[in-house]
Amino acid sequence: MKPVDLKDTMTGYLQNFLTRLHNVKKLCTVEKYEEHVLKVLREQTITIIESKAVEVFQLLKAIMLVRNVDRSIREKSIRGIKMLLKLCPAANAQLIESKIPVFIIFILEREFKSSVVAKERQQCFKLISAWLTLCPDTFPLLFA
Amino acid sequence: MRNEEETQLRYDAIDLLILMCSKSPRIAAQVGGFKQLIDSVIDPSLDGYRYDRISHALMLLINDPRIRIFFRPVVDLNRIFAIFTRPDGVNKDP
Repeated sequence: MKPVDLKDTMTGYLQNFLTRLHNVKKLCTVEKYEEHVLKVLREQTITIIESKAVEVFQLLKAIMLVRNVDRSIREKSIRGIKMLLKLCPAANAQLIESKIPVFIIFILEREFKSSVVAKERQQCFKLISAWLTLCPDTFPLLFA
Repeated sequence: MRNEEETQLRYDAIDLLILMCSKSPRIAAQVGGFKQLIDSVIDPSLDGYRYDRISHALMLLINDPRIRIFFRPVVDLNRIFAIFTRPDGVNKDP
């Protein structure tokens, strides 16, 4: 894995990443395609995500650890993980392997009773909710 | 503003707790999720929210035989039913 340039990451990479995830999500649910085309699209998407999941999760994890920056970046990284999980629920194994739950709890727990981190916490809740809905069998005890 | 956000976070956390109790009850039972849910039913600060959401969810959880087994009969539900009972050796209502 190449070293992460966080400056580039903060100035647009993350936003583009989220936009592309939105596009993939739209592509997988658009009505003009027939069912078999959608199935192939979904399978291709899942294959791509599974092959790159570990690298992407490592990158998002690095972003989550950054301090003294715009907080929306951290929020976007959590949103990215949530969208990846929704697109490919099988990625939960890689999420656990990358120890993402530890970082999510780290964000949830710190700076207690501060309205500054409210949006991050909302995103964390949404991620936990998505995990519970999509793959409750692998739900980490740490979240509970 | 801060209080509004914290209240909203609290409501979200309760929603998440209800979801956890229904989707993975074993983990919820391990961490005392059911007890927390019952405590939140009788929490006066959640007035207006508890009746329509928490109590309904609690009824659904008790109604499901796969989830019902995780309720501890004396420990958890005792707090709700205590109002209908009287202590041993007392013959009249308080």
